[in-house]
Amino acid sequence: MNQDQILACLAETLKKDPEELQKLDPDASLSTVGMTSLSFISFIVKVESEYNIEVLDSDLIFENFETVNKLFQTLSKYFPSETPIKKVLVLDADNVLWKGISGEEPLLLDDNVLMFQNTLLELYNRGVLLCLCSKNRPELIEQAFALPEMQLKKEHFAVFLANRTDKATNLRAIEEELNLSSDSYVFVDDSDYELGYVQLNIPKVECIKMEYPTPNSFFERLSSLFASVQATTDLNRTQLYREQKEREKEKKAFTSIQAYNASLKTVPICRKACTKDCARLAELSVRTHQFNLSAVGYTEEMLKKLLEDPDHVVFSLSVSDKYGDMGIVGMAVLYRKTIEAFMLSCRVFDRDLELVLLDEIKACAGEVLYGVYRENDKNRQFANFYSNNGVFTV
Amino acid sequence: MKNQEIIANIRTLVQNGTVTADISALLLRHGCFGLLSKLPDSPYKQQIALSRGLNGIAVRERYKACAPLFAQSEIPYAVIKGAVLSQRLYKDPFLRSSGDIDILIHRRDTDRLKELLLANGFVQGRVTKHGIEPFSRREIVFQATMSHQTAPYVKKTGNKLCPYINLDVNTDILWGESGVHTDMDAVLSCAIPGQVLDTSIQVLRPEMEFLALCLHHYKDLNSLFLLSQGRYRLGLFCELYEYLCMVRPDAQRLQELCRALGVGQYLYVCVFQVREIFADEKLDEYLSVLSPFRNEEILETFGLADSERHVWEIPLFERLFHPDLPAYVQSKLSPAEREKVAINRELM
Repeated sequence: MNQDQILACLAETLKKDPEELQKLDPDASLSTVGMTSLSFISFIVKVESEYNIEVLDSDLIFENFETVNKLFQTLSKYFPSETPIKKVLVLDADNVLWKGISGEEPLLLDDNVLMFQNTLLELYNRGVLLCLCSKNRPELIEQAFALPEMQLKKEHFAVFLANRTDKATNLRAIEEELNLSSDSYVFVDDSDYELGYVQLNIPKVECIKMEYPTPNSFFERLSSLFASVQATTDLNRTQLYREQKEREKEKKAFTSIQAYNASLKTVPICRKACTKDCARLAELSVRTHQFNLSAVGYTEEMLKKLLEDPDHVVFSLSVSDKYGDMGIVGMAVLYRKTIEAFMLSCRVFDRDLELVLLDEIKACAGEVLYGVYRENDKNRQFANFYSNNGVFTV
Repeated sequence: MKNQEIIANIRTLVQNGTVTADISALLLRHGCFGLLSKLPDSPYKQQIALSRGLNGIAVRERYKACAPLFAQSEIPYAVIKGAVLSQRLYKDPFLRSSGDIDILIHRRDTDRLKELLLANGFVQGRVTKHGIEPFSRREIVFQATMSHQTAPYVKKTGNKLCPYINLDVNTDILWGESGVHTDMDAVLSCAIPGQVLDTSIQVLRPEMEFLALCLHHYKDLNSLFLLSQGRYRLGLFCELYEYLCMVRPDAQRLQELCRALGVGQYLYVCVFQVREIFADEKLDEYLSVLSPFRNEEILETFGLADSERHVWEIPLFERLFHPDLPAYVQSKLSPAEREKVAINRELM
């Protein structure tokens, strides 16, 4: 959400100079700048019409819009996030997952530790990928995980690294394994040195210091970093990444994508989307940055409106193979002859599935197609996708 | 007929079923259906029977159309007023005339309910001579924001005697513009199974139902907009009186609910005025438990918010039977209040 544009909209409604609103205390009542119940209604109608959104009835309470901060907070959910979404939480082990150093002293799992572990389990259940990155010996870490009080188990971790390698190198290894960009990661450690080293080498990783006893602000910060991760899919993300590892292993044995796909017994299903797909499609759209040709994200409400529009068609691509069901991994939005959005999850790169999606669009709209491509740092590698496949890039 | 004479007749009618003057036209005009049915020789018997018959058709259509809502179990709700209240007060779901079916839900559930209603053929709109006219977005936003209800829903029935039914979705038992909201989880925790015709529904426990009814009627008796619409009627007081006399909600429990929801002062005003009108000692128990909430500042005033409160300059009986109370109220309003009333009239 572009807050300046929203403020400009508000300024226009209130017939004020936008700069005046910029200077306003964000927690001050908007009634001080002339907001009345009627101007509030005009503002809502104006924002809805300019940004093609519809504010839900449940949000239509005057108090939700009575200050600039509340207004931004309420409206933010109607606009796809522009800040990087955190997806992975990398955790040190000693003095983080328990108090003490495994192998050197008795470990303490008190209420504070268990509260932290339960927070991690909640994040895991919401779809956050947990990874372990410790410099302690693997057998000592495993001994700690075998303690009966431990709420967290080894299987909750998508990647489990315990070695003497520096933590920045280990984080890069995790990045490579999960195929997710650096700004998706949050790193928690008790050592200022380790945090500083990772921050210096991988500046995009969010680093947080762990200290016991853990203040409430720590939990709040951790949860807020992953606030946009919603468990909208029934599929367990850690399990999905684990299956993905098996696929990667198998891929190395093949020289062609066709042979590889055949070995995986890949079954792609490409179809027009329906209302029940919208939550997952919205999630996919805001989480996909690399193969997202128009660099666009959608909210669930936006997609539902597109489904109702006879000029738009929304396509969803689901895939399953012998390792499991990956659910919806790709989507496209077609406006008459123009592909407004085309995206594919990084989990299914190099399997020619984008061609399955494009074929379905062509079957629906014909061979002459236009595709919207908005170049950015993340999607540049797919700049020629449309031109290589007979679609005019616009 | 003088006001005192009308009141005296009303009191003897409720106490022993007798009257010394013909007050039937007045009772009809004020929507006092319970009292009318007590009149030994009402000239409006046929009219009431016809109204009851048509109301019955409407009630059946409403409950048929809302069946998907009642059948689902995910959205906590309670049906209020209308046929539920009619059945509770008169053991007859069709006697109390109403124009719609009222559902009470938590505001957080309005979106799910909307989806359900739209999928079942309801439209947020009004009935005009051309059929259903959907509300503009401005009207929908206004009503959801400024009142305790979302914009009403309408559905076509196919029944010529009742071609459309209206559904009101209430998200609060307080008035929307107050900025103060009731704890709706607490309100809906008082929902219990009930039945109208053959339809199983959720209704409120008597104490909560009476509390919600009082707040609803208090709004009618105090809102500048509704007073300007002529909502100040004896029928409102009659319903509260009949509820206390016939349903006998538990007084202590009522007091507890008032304290928990912070609405005792409004209930005191309602019960106090009902006691004034009917002079029935049976109400003293209720007045006694509500007396800790007595607030002199709102006892003889109108207006829902502190900023718009006006003192009644005419006593209770005179305003009850005033020949043109809306004009009187209008004359007391400031220009800004008159403008607010006009906007409400345009968008509600």
